[in-house]
Amino acid sequence: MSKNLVLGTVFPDDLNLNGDQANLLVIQKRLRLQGVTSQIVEVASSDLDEVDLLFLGHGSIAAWDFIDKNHPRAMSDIASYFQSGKPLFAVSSGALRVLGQTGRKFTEGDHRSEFVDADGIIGYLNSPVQNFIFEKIQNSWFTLLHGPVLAKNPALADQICTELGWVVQPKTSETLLRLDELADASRKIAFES
Amino acid sequence: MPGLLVSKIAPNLLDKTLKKFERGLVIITGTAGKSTTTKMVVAIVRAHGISVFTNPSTANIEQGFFSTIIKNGDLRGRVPGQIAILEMDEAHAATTAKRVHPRISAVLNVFDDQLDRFIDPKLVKNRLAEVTSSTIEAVVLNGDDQNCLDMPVSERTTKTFFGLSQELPKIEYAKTYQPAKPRPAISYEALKLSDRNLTVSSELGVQSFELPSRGVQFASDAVAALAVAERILDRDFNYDLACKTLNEIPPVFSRGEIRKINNEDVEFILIQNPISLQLNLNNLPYEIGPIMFAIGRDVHDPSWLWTVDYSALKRVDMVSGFNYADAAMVLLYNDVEVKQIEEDYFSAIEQFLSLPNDSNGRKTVIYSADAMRRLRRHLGFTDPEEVKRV
Repeated sequence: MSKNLVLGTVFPDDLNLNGDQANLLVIQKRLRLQGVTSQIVEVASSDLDEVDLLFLGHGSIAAWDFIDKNHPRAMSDIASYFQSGKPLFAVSSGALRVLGQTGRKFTEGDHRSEFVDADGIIGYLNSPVQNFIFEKIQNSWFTLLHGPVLAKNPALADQICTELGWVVQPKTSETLLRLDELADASRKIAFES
Repeated sequence: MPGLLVSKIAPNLLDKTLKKFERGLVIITGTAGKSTTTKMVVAIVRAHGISVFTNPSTANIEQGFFSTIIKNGDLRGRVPGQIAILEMDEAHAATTAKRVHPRISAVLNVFDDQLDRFIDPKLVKNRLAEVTSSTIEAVVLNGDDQNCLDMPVSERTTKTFFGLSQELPKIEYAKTYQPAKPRPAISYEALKLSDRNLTVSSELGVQSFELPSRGVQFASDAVAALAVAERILDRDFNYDLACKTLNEIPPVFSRGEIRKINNEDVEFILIQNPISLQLNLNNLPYEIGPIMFAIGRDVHDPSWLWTVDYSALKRVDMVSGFNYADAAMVLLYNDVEVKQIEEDYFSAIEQFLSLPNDSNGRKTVIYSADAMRRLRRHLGFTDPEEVKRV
């Protein structure tokens, strides 16, 4: 693939509370190590036509108040984007916001702040939401986990890149294999602390 | 665990003890700089001939206060000192302030930190607001941090502000997402910083002195300390003596502390949150020797490591600590060259200290609190106060 892929992100300065934007860094580096070039671009929610993958991160209460007030259509624009079959990866409050636009209801219980294993997807959960951790809907991926989810779950990063048709060859890069070994160790350590 | 035990069998001991000081209780809190600022304030007040009860920087939560009281007090919980000057973690500061009502409190700053515990920065700010609203006499605040400008105080409590001039590197505090409030009148302002030489301006005049450690964060700590000390001492405050004291104070251990190990200087840099990691990376010297990066068990959720800009760091020679895997991943994904990853921390320390250093710079250890404690025990650094100024 010779195209320079566009990894789009909205409000990256505001939706990076737990290092969430690093998910795009993980995809970009893994693509690069497999010979695929990409660029991370901040985009407006009203202009998503040129985006190959859109990312939505996690923000503070104040950040979401700001976005809701100043960009009232942003979440409905992003919901329309993913409902039209275009790929989105959304984490934590970003995932809740977009899914909420589709009428999805979330039940809340005791607040959980811990590492969890959701059918093999391992990451940090810091939320009272009980009935959702990870789902693939159409061509999009949603998780309640926050932070650099794809660093700890390189198989998911690779699944996204493969399903979107960006990489097909087996991994040969030594750095990539080293990163995968570190991710394995990180996933084990998560439950030792 | 004696602190934990006493906190269970005599839960009111802390409140009773803290209410007994003739010159009251001073609480120093906020996200970053608590240890250094507290140590500076304590040194200034002691230099004025007043006896001070304080806590070591490793004991800024409730169990630590109990341990400190047990170590220094009698059976009734009486501890020596005319005044208590304590650094407190944000949550414990709020709880203690509501029960004991400090005479003076200082909120140094608000950054996005410990979100696995506090969930959202707004909730941290709310806790700090409980400290200021419970303070009786004076509140000292960071005039450059918008989060501090609307901290509530009671009618009779005064507000004093410290800050950094525009000539100094700007520190990015937690965003408030509110229209910017005008900068208040600043009582103690850091005017210029050249390496460790700081020039401070106040109504009492302009003074220059050497900071114990390199970095704009220590300039902020110093002006905060001067403002707090003046509020404590009031008319007895001697500005010359205060600046002379700051000129001579050693660094708090591991905040830019330099130790001679195997006949070579090694610098130790403690990082406890995104801002301290970012500022310390930004302040790394141009000439630097081998670097060890160790993230320990204290970092419960390593996600915050990914909020930091690592572009100042070109190479790390050794990565280790309980969270070595996350530490190594964040460096590699940020294109930092990682020469060695060692799961066994004590082996990593020995291998790192044995590395040849062909550069003109020092070996540097950047580590989290747990990695710091383990390294210090391993190398026999048992007394945290035993830090010399270089």
